[in-house]
Amino acid sequence: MKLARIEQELTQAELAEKVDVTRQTIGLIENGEYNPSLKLCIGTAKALHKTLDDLFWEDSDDHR
Amino acid sequence: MITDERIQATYHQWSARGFLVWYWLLLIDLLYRQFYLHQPVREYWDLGAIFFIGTGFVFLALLSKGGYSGNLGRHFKIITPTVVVTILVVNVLMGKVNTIGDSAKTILGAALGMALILPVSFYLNRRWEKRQGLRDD
Repeated sequence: MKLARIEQELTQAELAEKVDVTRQTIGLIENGEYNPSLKLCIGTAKALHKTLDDLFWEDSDDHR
Repeated sequence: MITDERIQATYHQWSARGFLVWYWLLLIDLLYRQFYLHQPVREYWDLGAIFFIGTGFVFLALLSKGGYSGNLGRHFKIITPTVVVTILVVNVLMGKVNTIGDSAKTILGAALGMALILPVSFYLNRRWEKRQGLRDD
């Protein structure tokens, strides 16, 4: 998600404003320390022009 | 208004935990005053009122917002005998129940009280489920 945000040239604060949460929440999501609701996931994906898979799906290789 | 779901979730989580702390401390205080200090009820009725109004409010709010939806019957299967036995034990400890007849009256009274609460509970739960389109009838 962090890469997608940087691709869009958005700061955490700008993305947070788009999806109506605080900057801290975006930071926690990017660090994997907060599990967002599906509603927030969809909002974030739309704000970053990505799909849910692009942002949140981890390939099995990623766990190795 | 807070729109951040993380803050809302944290706030609700800790409010619920705070309620549990409040609930148990107040309950322990009431039992301490009744059974250890042997204070007459008129000296702490205000605390009792706060306890029952607070817990009653949360119970009714949960019922009418679907907090027990899906397992209300199971909750009552556990709660009903617990309430009846608790009321009997409390009355025995207070010296108000001395005979089998008294016990029967106490059990009957407690069961009747639960019989009044049950339909209200099922009605509120049913109303919420209907509003959410979870019931066809």
